[in-house]
Amino acid sequence: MNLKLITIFLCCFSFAPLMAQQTISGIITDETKQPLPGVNITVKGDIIGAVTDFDGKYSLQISSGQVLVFSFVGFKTQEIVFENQKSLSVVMHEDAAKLDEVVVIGYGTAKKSDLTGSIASVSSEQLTIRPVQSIGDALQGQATGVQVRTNSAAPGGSTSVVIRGQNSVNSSSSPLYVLDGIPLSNIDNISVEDIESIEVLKDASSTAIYGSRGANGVILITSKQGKVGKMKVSYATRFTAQSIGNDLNLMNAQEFTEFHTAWEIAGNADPSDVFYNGSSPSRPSPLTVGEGTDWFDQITTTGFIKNHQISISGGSETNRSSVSLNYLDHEGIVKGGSYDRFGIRLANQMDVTPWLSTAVNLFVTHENKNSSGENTGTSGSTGTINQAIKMSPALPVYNEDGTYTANNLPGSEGIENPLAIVNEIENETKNWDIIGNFNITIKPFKNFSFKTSLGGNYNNYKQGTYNPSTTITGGLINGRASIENRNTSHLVNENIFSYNTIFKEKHKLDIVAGATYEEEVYEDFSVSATDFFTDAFGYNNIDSAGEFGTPKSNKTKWQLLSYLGRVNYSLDRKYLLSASVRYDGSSRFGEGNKWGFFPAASGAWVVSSEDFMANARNTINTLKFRVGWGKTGNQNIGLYQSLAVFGLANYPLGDAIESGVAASRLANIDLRWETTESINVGLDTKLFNTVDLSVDYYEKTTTDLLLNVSLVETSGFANALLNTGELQNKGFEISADTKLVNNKNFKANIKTELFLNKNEIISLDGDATQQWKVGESLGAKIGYISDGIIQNQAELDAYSDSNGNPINGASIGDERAVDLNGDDVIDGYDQVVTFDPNPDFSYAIGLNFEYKRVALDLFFYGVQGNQIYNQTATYLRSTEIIRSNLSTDLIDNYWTPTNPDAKYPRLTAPTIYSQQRLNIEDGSFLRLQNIRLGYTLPALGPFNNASLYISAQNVFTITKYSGFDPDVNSTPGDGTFTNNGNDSFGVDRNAYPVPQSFTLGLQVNF
Amino acid sequence: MKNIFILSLTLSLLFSCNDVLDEEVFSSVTNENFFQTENDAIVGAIGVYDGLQNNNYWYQQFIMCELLPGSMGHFWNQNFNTLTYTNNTGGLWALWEQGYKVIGRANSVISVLENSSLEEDLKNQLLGEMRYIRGMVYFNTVRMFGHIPLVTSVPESIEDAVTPQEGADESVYESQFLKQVDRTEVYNFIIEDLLFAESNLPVATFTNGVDNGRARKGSATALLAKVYLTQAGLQYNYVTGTLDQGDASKWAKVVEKCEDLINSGPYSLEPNFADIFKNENDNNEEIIFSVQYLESSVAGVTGEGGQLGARTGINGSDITPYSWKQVFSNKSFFDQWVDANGTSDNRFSTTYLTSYVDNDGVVVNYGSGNFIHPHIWKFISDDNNPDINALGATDYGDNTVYLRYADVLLMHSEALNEINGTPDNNTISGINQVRQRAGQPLITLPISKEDLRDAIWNERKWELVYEGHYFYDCQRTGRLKEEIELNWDTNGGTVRQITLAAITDKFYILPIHFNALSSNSSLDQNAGW
Repeated sequence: MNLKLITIFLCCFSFAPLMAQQTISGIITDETKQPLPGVNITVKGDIIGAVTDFDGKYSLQISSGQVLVFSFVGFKTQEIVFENQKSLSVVMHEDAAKLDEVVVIGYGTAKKSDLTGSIASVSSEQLTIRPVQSIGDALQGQATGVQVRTNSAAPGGSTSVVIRGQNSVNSSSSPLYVLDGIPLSNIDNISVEDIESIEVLKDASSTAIYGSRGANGVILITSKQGKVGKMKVSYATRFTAQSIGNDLNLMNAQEFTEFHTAWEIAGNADPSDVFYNGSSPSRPSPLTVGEGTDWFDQITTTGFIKNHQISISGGSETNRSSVSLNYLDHEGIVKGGSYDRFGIRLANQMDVTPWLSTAVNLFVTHENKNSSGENTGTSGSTGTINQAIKMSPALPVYNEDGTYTANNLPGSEGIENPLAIVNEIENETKNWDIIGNFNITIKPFKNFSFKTSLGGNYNNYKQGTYNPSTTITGGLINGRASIENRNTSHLVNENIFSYNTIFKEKHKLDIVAGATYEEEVYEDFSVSATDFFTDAFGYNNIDSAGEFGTPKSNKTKWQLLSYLGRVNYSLDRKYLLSASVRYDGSSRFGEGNKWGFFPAASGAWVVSSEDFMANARNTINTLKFRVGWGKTGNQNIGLYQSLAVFGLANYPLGDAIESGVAASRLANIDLRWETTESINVGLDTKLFNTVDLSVDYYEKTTTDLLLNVSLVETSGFANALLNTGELQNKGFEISADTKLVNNKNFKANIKTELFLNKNEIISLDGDATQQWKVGESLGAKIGYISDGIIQNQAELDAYSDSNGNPINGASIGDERAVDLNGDDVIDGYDQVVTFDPNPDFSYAIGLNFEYKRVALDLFFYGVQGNQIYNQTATYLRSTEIIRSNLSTDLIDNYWTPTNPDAKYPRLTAPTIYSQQRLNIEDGSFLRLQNIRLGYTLPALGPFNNASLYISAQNVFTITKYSGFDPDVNSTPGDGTFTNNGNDSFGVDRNAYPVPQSFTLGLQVNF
Repeated sequence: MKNIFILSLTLSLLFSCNDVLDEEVFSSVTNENFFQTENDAIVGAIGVYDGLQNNNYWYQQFIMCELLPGSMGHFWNQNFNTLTYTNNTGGLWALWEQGYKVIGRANSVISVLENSSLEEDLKNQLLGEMRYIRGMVYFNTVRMFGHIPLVTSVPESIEDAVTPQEGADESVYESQFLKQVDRTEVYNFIIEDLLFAESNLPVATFTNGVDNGRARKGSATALLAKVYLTQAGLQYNYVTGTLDQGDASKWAKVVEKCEDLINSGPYSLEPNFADIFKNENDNNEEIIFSVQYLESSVAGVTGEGGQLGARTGINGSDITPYSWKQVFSNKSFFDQWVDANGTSDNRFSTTYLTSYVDNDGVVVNYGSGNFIHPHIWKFISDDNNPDINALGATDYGDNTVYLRYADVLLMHSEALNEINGTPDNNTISGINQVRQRAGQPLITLPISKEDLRDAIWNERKWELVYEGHYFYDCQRTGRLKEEIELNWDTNGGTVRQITLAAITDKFYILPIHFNALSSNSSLDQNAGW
């Protein structure tokens, strides 16, 4: 190898231009005067170069005036002009911002080169490259193994983040967020611009220090802190316009009324008896109706997002501050939905004495959200999208007297006019969120520190709704108002000792030990009322109502007490070892099962620091192997699950309601931690000074899976949370960051990420109705399969039982469900797994080009091999019963004797057997998520610099999926097949249309 | 340094006692804090009634009993309508699962009551109510599913309720939660419950107050009559798939129980048929047992409302503003009804809605649009007035009548006719009371036993239709296929998707649902399914 390299260099020399060349030599050392082997020395604009030897020595041929470039991973690159020196010895300075950037790990920090676990860091530049509203959005595609799905694209909508696949069925699979040391379950309302960096702890060796909450990964968020130096002021603003990206292709009035009539006649209706017979204006004949109303057009509009952020930071050696103010205003593309957010942030660090320092972090956020739609907002079964689909296109928006029309479409009569929903119904939520943390650090003597912090968050949520008397839902009862108030107080106390030392120069030791305590108290109160004498008050004067609903209130509490410790040891910065433990006690579990022990260990070998690699460092700049093992837990289950619970079960006797209770859950005193044991092997390398490559393989096995299994129904109980079964996730993560071109004027960079995860249920005991399938992925669902449409009598005869009766009463033109067990009846035994929402792999490609002051960024994101259950299509494209508008795809595309090759079965055919063939769709997609063109202005007057950019989001999507958007994830708990949380994964249920956006942004620094 | 260690030690110790992790319960009732006092048993008993109130359970009973034989049509492609239901049809699961849920609640309160130190009279009365409800639900379940597990106590621990693992020892399946028992055993258990209820429950008083809606002595007596009537009729043999003869000795018991009720009161026919179902006339003297619902205007938004009004109303009309487009009368059944009784029958306008006056004063007749078929009007009491009190489709106040006095009178006539050689005055007295109120000519003697049997059969149909008796009456008399054929409707009412030839005896029983078979692999499916 060495010889080869030398030969290559010799060749280089021999082909070097023949100029007046001199030999230069010298020794390269670090700041401690230690020689540095493997330093790269190149001559700018030339192909010659050299590498320092084991003693840090080099020598090469060079001409006067040429520029020598000294570079070494982890150190600042230096350029020195050759002025005929005989020797040139250089001291390299460590580059804190590069390899040895400090990375936040649980309860401490570490140098990036010393990491042994799998941790992805995302910088503030990466987070803000796309104009996003939340941290979840910003993380999409920025860290391998982190899957971000949009729950709703509505204003103020949320995302769900899953790290390395779902570990858990019933308890949540979302990671733990830790904002400046405060564990939180939701960080959607924190401004991305306030974030300095995000670390995603992916493997158990990194997350085990968070014990019971580490199994789903941990996302550590560090806010911007003040730095020593003069005050810096920056202002960022952006303006985004949004439009509806895709269309559901619904029928217009003429198409719909014709289709509806044909359908009624197919269902044996007398042609004179059909609904659209011209007998009244609301039942027009297809011949005269024309285009009618496009309800989607009515409820959608151009959306706007405005965002402003001012940040001020700076300070002295002993007192550093950073404050910021941000404002976001989002008007959605569905009318009536808007969201605004106002946030203040304060960070201050004071060194009171050399051995005592304090720090404060405070976030105060106010959110105000208006949701179109009555209670459930825009999407879901009662949302505006759903009503727009259900509204007859043959109806005008308003009656002649100016009142809203009410739907008269048979089967959906009387539902609210979607425009009345967006214009009239109030549904406001106001949310105050205060997140704060105060800590004191004492350094009584060298290498030792003690930090105690008190923090937490307080959340006040208020929802008010009012359905005025001008609406159907409010009309008959003279208005209906409801108010709900929720308060959450969450308290965190942490006491952490740290001890860091280096002995005998080679041995570096970091020790952390501590105890933490958390508790959270939740309270809510709600009241509703009807019969208002005026609509003027909305929900703000509820005592003026005539009738009141039963007020409701609720209070819950949980506690978590933990002890933790970790030792990091590094020998010569080549051999790295880390071990941690956490001992967690949770109030959520039964007596005797409250405590869980979560150990972890990991190690790394920095191969490139070995002497034998010295000469290879030119090609393999760095190489590190990592291996880790750890156990983490999951306690993210509902409260009081181990106790038997009796629910309210009232009953009216006479005209009075009697209070009653009934057992709703059996006690399960054995309820205990769900444990995930995982191993991770990985390598990080930098090659040719151009490619940063990381590869990780992991296996996670979750045992004592907390599963809400169905019980034997004769017990009188439907289900219970049990520790049962085993789940496995295996996967690969590969990320590569390549500098294709790196000139002064032109830079080109490509960043690619690939993530594969396979999720499998290994075993499950005691699930009575077996909704989860052993050997399948989580979220896989069973159903009937079909092999097409019964085309003719001969096919129907073949599809009959021994008595000659068609199976399940099928007719010609019906879906031919496959009788898997051959018993001449299609029933529960003929179901197989037909749906798997888990992708085979997901990938992201980021391209970055910089030419002088112009930068162009492109970001592609893709998912491959997943399925989507298009639940919206079950009524848009089904004719079993028509209760909504329909997809134009149905026109002339259903089975008739003369159209036997149609995609859809005959009119009125049962839908249940065609789900698999028609509504379970390939959800793979590749999206150009973002394209951004930026220009950095030169410093001018008071402006240090300013940059201007335009960007477009959701530019195009390559997909076969027929719904609004393949990036769907119905709100958890809005389950379709059953009501289990993770069950709605991959289900499109009137999802909010994902908009296409166009953004103009400006950033100025003073 | 010393100080710091002390400080941190204190901080850690602060939290190191286990009390810190005790679960504090504020707003839920848990086993930690419940079933301690006498009042808890009373409150628990209300919870059992609440289980009985489940809307879907009664909706499924309603459509199964009426769609299957064909008195009704359904706008949706409902499996009981098309007769294409299988072991995977959702409604069957509700009928099975919700039944066991109520039984479970009753078992739990019964065991608490039996061990309580409650004052004896109150204790036995509550026990009687609970055992009446348990018996009633078992009676529904055994008639629908035939071969069922007989659960008589609560699970001792969660292990009792967990599905046995594959390959589990067979003895596991001996558990009462898993083992199917013979139908006779279930009936004996029902009768035992009902006899206890009969001898411990007070007589109904009909005074408006909290006692209205509770099970009373007469509820048990009437239900016993019905149980015996069912035992006397045909029994679907769930092993062979044939219809077996019933136990004719039970006819005498039917008579005995009916006469107990007829002679000792306090029930009587409501003089005006329309008043039986009226919301404001809830729990009148004809009602022997009904499931209670309350609309919200009386009690705020409570979730105590019923849905039958929304199921049977006309969607988008002025008279039932909250409605789903679901069921309507089957045209051929309607024609038979009118042929037999005429439209001047006192029951007609309560049973059927054929026209209404809209808010503009225009008379809307059935025949087109939303109102193609006559609608079922028994459960929307405020005839021709909007039911404005309802706040939503699940908020109607009309009760679900389970047993009423007219039923008892007809059972009395039927049983006597089966026992006696030739019908006498006593035999026709029951049916004639019913006919008299309806405004129909009375049956006169002499009449042959067979003719009277048919007359009683028809009277039950006309009088009790849509009240959840039709299927069960077909089941015990073996008339199911004949009735399905009579009600075969080509006008879009009942849309049978199978041929008449495909209607075999298996329709006399429902298939046990796939979920139940999955949860308990030892269950035998009913023959034919």
